[in-house]
Amino acid sequence: MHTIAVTRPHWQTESDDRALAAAARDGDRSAYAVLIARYRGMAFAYSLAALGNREEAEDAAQDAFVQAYSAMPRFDPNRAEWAAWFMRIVRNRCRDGLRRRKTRRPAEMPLEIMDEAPGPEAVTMADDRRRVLMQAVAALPEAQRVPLLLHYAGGKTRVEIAHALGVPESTIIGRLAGGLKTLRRRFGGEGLI
Amino acid sequence: MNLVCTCVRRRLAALAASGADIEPTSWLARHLAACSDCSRERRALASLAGHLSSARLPEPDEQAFAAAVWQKVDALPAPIHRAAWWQSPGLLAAAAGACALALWMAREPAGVGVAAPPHGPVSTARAGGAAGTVASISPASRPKADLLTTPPPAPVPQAKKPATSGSRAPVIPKLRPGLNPATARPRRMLASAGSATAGSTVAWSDWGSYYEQKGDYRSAAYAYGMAHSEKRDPTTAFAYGRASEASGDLASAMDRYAAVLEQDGG
Repeated sequence: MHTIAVTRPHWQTESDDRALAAAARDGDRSAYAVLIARYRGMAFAYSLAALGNREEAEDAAQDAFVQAYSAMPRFDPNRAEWAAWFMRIVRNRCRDGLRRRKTRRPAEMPLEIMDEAPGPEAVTMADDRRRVLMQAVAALPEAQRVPLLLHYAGGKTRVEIAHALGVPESTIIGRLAGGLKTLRRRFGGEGLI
Repeated sequence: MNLVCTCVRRRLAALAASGADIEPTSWLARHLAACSDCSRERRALASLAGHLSSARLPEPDEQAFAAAVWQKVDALPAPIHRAAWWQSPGLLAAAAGACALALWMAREPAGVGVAAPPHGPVSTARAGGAAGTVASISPASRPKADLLTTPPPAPVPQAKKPATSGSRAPVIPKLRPGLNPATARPRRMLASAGSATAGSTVAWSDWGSYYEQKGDYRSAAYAYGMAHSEKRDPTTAFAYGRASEASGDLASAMDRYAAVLEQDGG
């Protein structure tokens, strides 16, 4: 039985993930608790960016952890990276949620995407303008919306997003640029920006 | 906006997305310094990124999130241990039975192998006076032909119209395409070949028996016909007629039976 301390620095490496996944596969709950703490933010942020609803995002992220835990005996840490494997589960859960909802466009995202404690620039931004901007973000295609929200609103790096989405970093940069250009065209003549 | 501006604005979005700085001495920096529209576009993109950064994705409560995950994990049904199929006695016995059945079905049926050719004393007495081939086979009366060296019957073209006259040539059937008689010899023939001696009549009779056992009655009739043409005896004549009858050539069969009766009568 592996014994791994729960308290670990934030900059854990891939080898740590592998050891934690191996320990969790052998039934070590504390190791899986570390994995939950480490990937909870990314899983929830992705789910929220994809689904646009906080409750559904929480459920999707939790269900992804549960599904990953039950599938751990089939996971081989030497053949696959745990983070990529887990984020694939998260993406599938979100896809299932969107399929159940019968629409790919999260309608209520603009009101729920903003935190109760907005940043300093948001204080100076009128609420209506902020709402319009978030509506425009919600109207973006999912391929552009998710990286845009994860990067700017979620504070994730491009490498982290590429890792979470399973695509190269250059693809993330292209999607971010495409989203910015779309928003710029959308608000170019309205004086919003 | 000229072509250079179009290129610059494409680069500006990518630069804003990648967060890369613009080299002060690059052509892009020189263009931005000279073009007010592109410079304004750059500021707009930076402002847009700033507005987007002002939004914050909410984060779930760490304790509540983990507690909910573990609660769902504990609510999972206990995993059912499924033993491998080979660990189940019933399935193992069924698999063994299936293998045995497959082996039994794949083996050569006892009746398919060519019996030793009719050789030696042949009983021709049958009820009603008809001649029969009741061959008494014993190791001593095995054919003396060297079957390995006996040339197999060459494939012959299929007869278009079977002749119906009594004096016609024997029907020349076509051996089955793809069957190489040299390699298709039955195992029993090969096994007994070591003790056999030369004798083409016996060999043609053997081939007739072989094809008859295989159900290829046209080839059997042809082989018996060749044997009968080399050595005219009632045994081969009757076998010739029997094979012809089985192949559907009733006229030829009647001819052969008539020949047998004539020889018996003589």
